[in-house]
Amino acid sequence: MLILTTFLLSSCAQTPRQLEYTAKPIDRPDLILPKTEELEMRQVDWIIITPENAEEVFTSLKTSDQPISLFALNSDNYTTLSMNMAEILQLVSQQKAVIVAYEDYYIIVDKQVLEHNEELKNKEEDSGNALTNLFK
Amino acid sequence: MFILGKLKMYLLLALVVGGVGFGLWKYYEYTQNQIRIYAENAAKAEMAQAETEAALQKTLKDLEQVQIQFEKVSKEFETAEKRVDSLEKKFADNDINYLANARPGLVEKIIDKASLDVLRCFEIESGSPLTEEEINVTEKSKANSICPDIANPNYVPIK
Repeated sequence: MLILTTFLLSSCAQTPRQLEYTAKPIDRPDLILPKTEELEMRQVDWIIITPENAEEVFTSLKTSDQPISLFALNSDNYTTLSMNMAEILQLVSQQKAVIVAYEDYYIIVDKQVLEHNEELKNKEEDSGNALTNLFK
Repeated sequence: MFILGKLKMYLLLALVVGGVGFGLWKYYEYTQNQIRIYAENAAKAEMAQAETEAALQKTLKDLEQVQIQFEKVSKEFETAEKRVDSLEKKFADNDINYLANARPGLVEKIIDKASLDVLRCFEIESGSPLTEEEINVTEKSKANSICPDIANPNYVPIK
C-alpha cells in the first residue's frame, strides 16, 4: 500500500521547466519633428534722399496719395543694419551646418552600430559553436 | 585462523586498492574538470578580447566621423564668416555716404539689389530650392552679391 502510494505521488512530480531569459535592447523610435517653413521674404525698396534730390523725392512721393512719412537711416546706421543682417545670416548658416552635421553623424553612427552588433552576434555564434565543438 | 588472517589481509588490500582507485578516479575527474574550466575560460577570454577589439574599432570609426563632421562644419562656418568679412570690406572700401550723395539713383539700385540678395539668402537657408537661373549663373554681375556660395553653385569668384 505504502509502495503504491509512493508511486502514485511520485508520478505527479515533474522536473520544473527551466526558464530562459535574454535581455534585448529596444529600438529607439524615430524622432519625428514638424518641418520648418520655407521663408518667403518681402521685398524692401530703399529711397536715398540727399539735400539735392529731397524735393524731387517728396514730390514723387506725394503722387501716391498717401500720407508721407519716411523711416530714415544715415549711412552709418544703414551699414550697421546691413552688418547685423549679415551676421544673422551667418548664424542661420552655422546653425544649419550644425543640424546637418548632427543628422549625418547619427545616421552614419546608427548604421555603424547596427553593423557592429551584427558582427558581434556572428562572432558570438561562431565562438559558441567552437565551445560546443571543443567538448564534443 | 590462518585463512581468516589471509582473508583480512586480502580485504585490507582490496580496501587499499579500492581507495587508491577511487582517489585516482577522483583526481582524474578533478583534472578533467580543471581542463574544461581552463578551456572555457580561454575561449571566453578570446571572445572578450575580440569584443573589446571590435568595440575599440567602432570607437575609432566614430571618432573618425566626429573629425569629418567637425571639419565639414568648420569649413561652413568659415564660409559664413567670410560673407560677413566681405560685406565689411565692401563698406570699408567704399564711402557709401559720399557715393549716395553723388549718385543717389545708382546707390539706390545697388542697395535694393543687395537687400533682395540677402533676403534670398535667408530663403535658401530656410530650404527654398535654387532656381534654374541661380544654378546657371557664372558671371559676377548676375551672382548673388551676399551669398554666392549657396545661391550660385556654378559661379566661381575670381580672387
